[in-house]
Amino acid sequence: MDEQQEQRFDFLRQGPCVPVQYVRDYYGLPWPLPGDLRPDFDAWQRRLRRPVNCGEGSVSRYDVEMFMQQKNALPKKWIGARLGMKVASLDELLSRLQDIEMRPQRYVVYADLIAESLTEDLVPKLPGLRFRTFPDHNSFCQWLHADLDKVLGIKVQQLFCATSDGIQEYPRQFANNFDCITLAPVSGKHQMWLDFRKPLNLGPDRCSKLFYVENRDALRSYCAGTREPDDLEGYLRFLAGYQNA
Amino acid sequence: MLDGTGARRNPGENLQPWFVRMVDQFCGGDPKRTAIEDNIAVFVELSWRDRTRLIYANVQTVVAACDLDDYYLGLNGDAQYLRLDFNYETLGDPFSHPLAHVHVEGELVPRFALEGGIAGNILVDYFEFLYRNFVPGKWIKWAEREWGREFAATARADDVNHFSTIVEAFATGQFQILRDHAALLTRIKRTLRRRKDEAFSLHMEGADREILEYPLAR
Repeated sequence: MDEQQEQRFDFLRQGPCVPVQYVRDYYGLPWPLPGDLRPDFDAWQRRLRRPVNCGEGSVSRYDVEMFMQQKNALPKKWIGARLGMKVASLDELLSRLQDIEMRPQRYVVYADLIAESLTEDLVPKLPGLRFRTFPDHNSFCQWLHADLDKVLGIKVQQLFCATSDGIQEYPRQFANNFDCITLAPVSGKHQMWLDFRKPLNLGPDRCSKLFYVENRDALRSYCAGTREPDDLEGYLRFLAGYQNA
Repeated sequence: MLDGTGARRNPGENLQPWFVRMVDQFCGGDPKRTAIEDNIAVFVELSWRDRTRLIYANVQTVVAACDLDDYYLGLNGDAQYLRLDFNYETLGDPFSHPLAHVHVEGELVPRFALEGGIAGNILVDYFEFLYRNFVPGKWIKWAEREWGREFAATARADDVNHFSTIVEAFATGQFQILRDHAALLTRIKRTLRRRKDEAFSLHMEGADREILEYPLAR
């Protein structure tokens, strides 16, 4: 781990409080929160029975995630990853929703938070996706991007998994989440879940399996579940080859 | 009303002309009368006894890659055919005709045993099989709703509903997380089994499935 990763790992395992810079980097949310989002978040936080006081320059990431969960919304950066695209492409798509008979007001909950239902609702609106089932996220992204080009003329800036690229895998895996320590985009295939004692009703923290095996001693006790994933051997082999090269 | 002979897909009969023939002959030329989804058509023949016991089922299914109206008009020819067969009179060679079984693409062989072990509610299990495979989003919503009701009725104040964790673990290939939730998965499956059985009571004799089951699963 480099110094920044060490710092993130330290505050993540210590509890809910994270520096506001982490909110910017990991969630892609501006801080202080802009527009209507800030008073709504503040008001929601004041209603909490057991508010966490993180002090100046820090914020409870549990509160941020719980607020988003209650709004059924996610940051643009995360919604973009679910669609295998960068934020610029998501912005372009949002500006064209009306062209495929979708109401932007329904999906843009706040300027920086987008309704989670966008992913699901896109499928019946795009002719190439409407009656198709997708074996995995890669297949979904490929069809989605092809149809967005065909129907709306959007050339999607694709978001790939950093681990998939790192191990020079073919085909490249699209990202669908972010590593909570390195902040790199990560696919389902190459991610594993970490348990920092975050409330169970919130989504899991994730890291790359490659990053995990590189830092296994430090991370082992934070591996979610009772066992490590079964397929770490391949990452260890890759690492051994890389270190010997 | 379907008639068994005329409704069958003849050997070598292409799927789209067969669909058109079925819709014209039995549905007044309206493909939407066959639809359970905009792109999924079913033609169902059933027999039962004493109003409770299912003794025969034949469910021919077309899953089109477009709206059924377009498929009927031949605007897009891509489609899949599946057929659920449950028939005590065609038993074939030993253990070749599980009760019930599914054919794909109109071929006589192979026949795949319908999932569900010795459960007698084969019709609902078959429709659920279609939804899990071809309309998974709707199936997940149904399962989440039914499990949510069970959870709300049985959970203690501090219990957390892990359904979304399980869905996310599937989506991102986290098998070790599913392993940790094995007991919960069994509870969810039992709840869904019960909900399906409560919703539709025309069942076959489940124990009969075991007689034709091969190889043994346990």
